[in-house]
Amino acid sequence: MSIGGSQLDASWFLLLGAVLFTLGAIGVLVRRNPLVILICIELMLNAVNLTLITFSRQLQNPEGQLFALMVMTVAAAEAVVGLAILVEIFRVRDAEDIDDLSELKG
Amino acid sequence: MMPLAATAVDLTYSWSQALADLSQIAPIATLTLFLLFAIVVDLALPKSRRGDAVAMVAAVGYVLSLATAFYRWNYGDNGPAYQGYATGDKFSLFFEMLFAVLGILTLAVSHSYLKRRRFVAGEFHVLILAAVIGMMVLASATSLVTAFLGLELLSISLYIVCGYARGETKSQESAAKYLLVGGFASAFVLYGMALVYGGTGTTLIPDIAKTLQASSSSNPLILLGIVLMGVGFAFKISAAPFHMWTPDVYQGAPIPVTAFMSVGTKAAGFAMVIRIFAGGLPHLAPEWQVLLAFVAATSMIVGNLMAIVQSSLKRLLAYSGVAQAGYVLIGVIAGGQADPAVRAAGLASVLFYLFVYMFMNFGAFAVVTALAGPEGDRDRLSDLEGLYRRSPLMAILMTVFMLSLAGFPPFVGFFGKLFLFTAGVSAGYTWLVVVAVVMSVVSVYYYVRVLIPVWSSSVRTDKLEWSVSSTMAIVLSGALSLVLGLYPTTVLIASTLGVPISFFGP
Amino acid sequence: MLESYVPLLIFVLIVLGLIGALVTLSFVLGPNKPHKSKLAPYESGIVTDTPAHKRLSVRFYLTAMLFIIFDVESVFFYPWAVIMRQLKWFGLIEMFVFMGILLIALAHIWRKGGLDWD
Repeated sequence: MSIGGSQLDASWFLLLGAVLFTLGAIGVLVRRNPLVILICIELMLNAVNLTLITFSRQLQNPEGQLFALMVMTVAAAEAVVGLAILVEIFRVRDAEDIDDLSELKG
Repeated sequence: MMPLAATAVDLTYSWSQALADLSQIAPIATLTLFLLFAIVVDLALPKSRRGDAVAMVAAVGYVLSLATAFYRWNYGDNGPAYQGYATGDKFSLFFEMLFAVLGILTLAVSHSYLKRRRFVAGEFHVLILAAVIGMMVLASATSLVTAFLGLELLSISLYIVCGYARGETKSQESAAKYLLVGGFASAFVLYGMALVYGGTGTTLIPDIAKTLQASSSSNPLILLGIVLMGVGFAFKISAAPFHMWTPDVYQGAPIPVTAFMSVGTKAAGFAMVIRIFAGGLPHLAPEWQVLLAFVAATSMIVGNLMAIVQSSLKRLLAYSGVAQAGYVLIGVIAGGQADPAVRAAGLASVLFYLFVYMFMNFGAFAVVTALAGPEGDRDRLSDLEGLYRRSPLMAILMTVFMLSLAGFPPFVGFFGKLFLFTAGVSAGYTWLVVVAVVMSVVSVYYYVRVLIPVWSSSVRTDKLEWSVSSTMAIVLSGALSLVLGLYPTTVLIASTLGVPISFFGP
Repeated sequence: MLESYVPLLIFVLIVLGLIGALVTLSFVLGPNKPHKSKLAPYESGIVTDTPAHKRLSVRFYLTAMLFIIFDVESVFFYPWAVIMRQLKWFGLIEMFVFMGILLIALAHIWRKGGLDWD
């Protein structure tokens, strides 16, 4: 696969995707602010998009791009619903951290 | 710039083809049409009449969808549609009927509940409709793309309804937790799907199976894909060690939502697990069987032990659901065996259990809806005290549900477990079945513990009222939990369930 | 069976190692001379005089969310536009169905007051 005249192996893109995905996953597990967690989930989804498009290019198969388009819309829908839920929570109380979301215990 | 498609795809799409494709997914199409109609009705009518009208539209939609699925089961020419992206085979029809029934039950129970809690009814029914459509799409998906779309439609609708009690912090928290955990799990499923796509070059599940059959060496990409998808699925079906969100979300969500999702997401998740793992990756069965066996064992142990100490019925049933997911996974594992007889027995037992689990578990939650007041749900075990005085019928039904969940004969839960465990033994997973049996014995303790307050006397003797529709739903669930357990019907249903799994081939 | 997971394990280790190395390197090698003005949040070089955690009207979020959702839906028009001619009439009508569904959603938002600013 030649881009700009130089040879660039697809596995670099896959590795970048894996790194981004792992960073997102670590972010979800480490960070406490629900908004940041939501952003990290979006990062994970976009890492998958990168992976899908790389595979699509590598395999010369358009299905991956189709999949990525679907993921984009779904990610947007998820982000919107997520923001709506979080805004609703912030409106009622000053919970900035998910640590404070601990009314449900048993 | 290279052309994207190495092989030119035929883009002509005739009207007759469109009609044929649409008829394959007729139950989904019907319900989608009614969803849109329900939104329009919600817009057009004055506020006071919206709730009832939307409920009516939803009811008609569910019934028509059920009828369509039933018709297609008997007379339809079932097969793949949309170039292999979806299918109308009997496996999907089975789940479509199951979800339509679940929709009807939820509607019956939620209608009076929403009135009592003074919630806006219209959007609630629309969102449940959307979730049911998502489940149906998931069941009839034969491509990773379609499966993902169904999964997300189901999840996103449920995130919203979990937070439907808007002013209530518990409900908001439930929604937020479900959203964050659900999104995390979706990302895992998705990355797994992407890797499987990269390893096989296709997203169509039958083609994945063919590609894997042709290649003998195991591709690390696909293995990582299986692990990631397995983790994501375990989150979705709330199997341990990925179950932590379940009790919190179940407790915070309004009861009809809890009842709906405890049954629906589980059945839909298992439909996807079977379709992708048993249908698409049968040649890598040893790989995912190990994974699922570990998940099944931990689910049964953690679920049953944690359920013992719960004082909230919602949390108790949440942990019981974790344990039940473990039992059902035994059937899925058996469904990965190469021997066609064992595989058929395993998958049929999963379908049977999911079918009967719907009635037992939904019924148990539905009984509790009547305890809810305008200010919130009452789901502590002590709230059940004196139920036999306040409503003898409900006390009897609650007993049926609990004993059936515990697996006492002659209730249907016993046969469900019997089929699962037999399949597990014939698949060679005897150790797993031993764990399951031991943990089932433990589970009797907490199911019976629910019944103690139900049959004990209490200072409260005021009569409880269930609306006609929810009484009918609960009685139906109770009757089926009992009747399906009687010998001839059990065998009949079990043999019918051999049909939908025939698509996996010999 | 399990040994086939070895390449996978190596892959995971490489990813984790790379992330660990990047974070550690930037932490170790980067000069760390804290100063009051350096630690202050950077906002285009202008000294901040109000706290950053300022509540915005919820209307902003609502409008932005609605914009995002409809904006992203339009992504499906691009692949359709590329092969519109090959799809002939069917594709056109199919797209109208898609737009019809979006219109119902828009009508719903409108009616529920999602577009009212006040």
